[in-house]
Amino acid sequence: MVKLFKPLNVVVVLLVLLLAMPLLTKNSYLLGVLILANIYAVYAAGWDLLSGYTGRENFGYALFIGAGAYAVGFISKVFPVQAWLSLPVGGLTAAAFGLLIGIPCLRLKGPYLALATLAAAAIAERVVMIFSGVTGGEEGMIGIAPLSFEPLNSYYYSVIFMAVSIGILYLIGHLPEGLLLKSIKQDETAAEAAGINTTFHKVLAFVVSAFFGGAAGAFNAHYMGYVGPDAVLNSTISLTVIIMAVVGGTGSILGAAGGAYLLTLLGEFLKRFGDFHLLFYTALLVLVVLFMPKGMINSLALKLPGPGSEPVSRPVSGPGGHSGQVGPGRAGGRQ
Amino acid sequence: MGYDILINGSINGAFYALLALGFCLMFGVARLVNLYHGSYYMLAAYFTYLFAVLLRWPLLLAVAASLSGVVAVAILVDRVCVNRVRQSSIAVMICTLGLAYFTQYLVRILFGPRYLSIPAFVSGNAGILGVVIPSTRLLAFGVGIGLILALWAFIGKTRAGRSIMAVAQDPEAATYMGINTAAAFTMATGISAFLAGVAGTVVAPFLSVDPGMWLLPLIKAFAIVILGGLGSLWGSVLAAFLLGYLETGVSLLLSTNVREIVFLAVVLLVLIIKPSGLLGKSLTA
Amino acid sequence: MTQDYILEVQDLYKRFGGLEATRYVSFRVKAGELLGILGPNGAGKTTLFNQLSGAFPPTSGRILFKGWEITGLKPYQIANRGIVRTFQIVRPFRELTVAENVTIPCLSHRGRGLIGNLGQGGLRRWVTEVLEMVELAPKMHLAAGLLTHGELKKLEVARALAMRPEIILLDEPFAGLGYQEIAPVAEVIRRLNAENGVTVLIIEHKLREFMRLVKRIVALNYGEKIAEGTPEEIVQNPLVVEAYLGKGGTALANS
Repeated sequence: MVKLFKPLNVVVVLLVLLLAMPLLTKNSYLLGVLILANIYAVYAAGWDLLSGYTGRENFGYALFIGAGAYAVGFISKVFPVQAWLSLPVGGLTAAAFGLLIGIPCLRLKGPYLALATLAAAAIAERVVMIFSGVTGGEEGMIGIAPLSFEPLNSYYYSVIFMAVSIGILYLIGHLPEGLLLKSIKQDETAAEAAGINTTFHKVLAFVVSAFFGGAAGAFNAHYMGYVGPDAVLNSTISLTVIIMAVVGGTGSILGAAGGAYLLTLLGEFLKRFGDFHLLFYTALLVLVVLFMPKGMINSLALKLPGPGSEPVSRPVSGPGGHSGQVGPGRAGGRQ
Repeated sequence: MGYDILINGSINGAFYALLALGFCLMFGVARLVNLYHGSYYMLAAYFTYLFAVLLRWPLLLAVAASLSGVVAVAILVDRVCVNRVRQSSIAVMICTLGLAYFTQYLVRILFGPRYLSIPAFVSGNAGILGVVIPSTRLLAFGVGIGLILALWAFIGKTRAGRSIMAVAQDPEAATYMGINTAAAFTMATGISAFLAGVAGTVVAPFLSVDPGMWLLPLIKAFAIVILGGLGSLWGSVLAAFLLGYLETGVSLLLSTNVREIVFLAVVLLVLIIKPSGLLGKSLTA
Repeated sequence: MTQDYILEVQDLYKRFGGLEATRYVSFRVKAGELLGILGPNGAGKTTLFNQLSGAFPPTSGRILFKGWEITGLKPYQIANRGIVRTFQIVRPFRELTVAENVTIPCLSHRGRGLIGNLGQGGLRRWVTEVLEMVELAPKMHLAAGLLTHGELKKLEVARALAMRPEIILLDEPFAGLGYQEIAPVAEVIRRLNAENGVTVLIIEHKLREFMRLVKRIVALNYGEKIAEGTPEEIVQNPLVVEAYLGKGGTALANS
């Protein structure tokens, strides 16, 4: 526990830096990039609570983001809803989808859950396309009330939104609840034998994870003044969120959020290399997975304890399991 | 209408089976969900373009060279990347997905983002049961069926094929029986890439060749394999043809828009109701 | 009448396809007993534990805990009522620390739940206490995946203890342990039963320690109860000797 104070100091310094940014630069483009980074940080942290903690990797997180954003879009058709109302509404809409997806998919994990969530999000995207009369189809919906007509205020709102969301997620992850979710990832049967209602906690993780995705999606809708598949519902968005969380490091909330900043800023920096920037970006992802299995932020900044930080001594199979070259084990289990 | 669905569905089914069998083989033998699988399909098309169009090699030679190239890439990817993270199924998935995007961007830099076309072995049309079909599609169907049968014979009748199946069933027991599991993995990797590569060379002439062409086939292969039961080769073939008929039927009877939704909904339902797939055995003892 | 027994198993029958894993097994356990379950491989011992702990429901038959029917409850519900099990093959949370492993059961309802443990002072003291009982306290901040097999066996017991069980089901707690490692684990079990009054049901194949430890034995073969009695009685029961050791086997009697 004592160890965690140091990273927290770093977090405080970075937060102050974020708040002071408008004093340091008047570059509105940079501030815009940071607003997007704040939104993506909440996406990645929200994804992490379900996927990093319980090991249920969601490959269709955009469904939750989209649910929140489209909720704002629909309400905005009726009256110009403001962010203070639409963020909770967006979050709750997404949470309802979290229940809808989470309960039938309780038994699934690994590749099975990956495909199920991927399919669910893809279905949502197609449905939006088919009912283009209501949803605007590929064009999406415009005319959503902006956060503020003053760009500086928008920036500060995004910092506050990010800090509150990630603060809550961090607390959940570091209270006993986070420990419970991790125990489900490690061995669900053993957690049940220890008196834990794993079903309840898995559904809870699904719902909370969805809530923050939806709230951030709603925030994104206000910021862009627009809701469309390319902005909030695309499979590319799901994959980007996974990449950010994995590069930063899963199972710590801060790692995933850090990954979002790292990759957003790196992406901007690399843009000057034209087509090559995507090449760098994906190469970085592969290298991190290969050489820093706990993620960059987790390995470098948080220095998380645990066997994973020493890949050599990492016990792979159970006692008596002969891994060797046959190593794959029965990973990606079924039930 | 009925014949339309039967014939075009069979053609699509054979193509899907080619894609899915390799994916399924990798899961069955090595418990790997290799999301780079779609890239073999793409690379085969681009290699063919390189050799046949840019270098003007004879088509047969170009295709042979492409397929060898794809197999070499597959073994390289397995050695350099997949092997290091085997223990974690999610690390394998993310790593191979990252590599797939990397390959897409690399191909885009090298060949440009535009659609390319590659030459076909045959031209013209043929009529079967009153349905007119381009010969290229018919060829794709024939090659697909031929390779499915060849794989069936290889696995059932040859020593190498049986050793692959032994590893798939129980890697430990196979080791004790003196089977070289590493060799079986490599062989399965090669076969898997070869099948996807063939799909790329025979189908690409009448579909689009572009850097993003790997994603949709990958998702379909993934879905087919899970639908058939992860690791069950014949379940995959069955699911591939079911998907072929379903897609053809839905797009003819309803609309192309609905086609993918129906397919995705079927996949989602199967996952929820019977996650072990149509022919999958429960792996949990 | 019923209240005299903490656990009553009535005609427990479980079938997997064509295989009858337990066939109409009945026995009763008094509070504070240290009961052994004996039987050759495949006799249905672990299947019996799986039904008692709720891992799967019996095909027919009833299980009563303090006179209340618990048949068909979920594993976590049974654990929260006070019947806690360990696994034959250890199932630690490998990437969590030893202390965190023991904290998990404390977060169940029985362990006072999430809310009851918000002020973590008491929780931490209890976790330390449990780890001291099994002599794992010095390793509490190590990831469980780094422990030896013997230590993992102790951790398995510690996790069960952390729930303050009324009945503990131990599935081969000595399996895979060397002779040196068995004695301390046996001592923990004995103290748990004698000092804390926990009712213990134990499956074990290491007969020498097993016979010394238990006060009464239920013997199973082919899913059926074939005998019940003190270790001395069981050793002399011809059915048990025949089923468990084969004809003419006397190793058990000599041990």
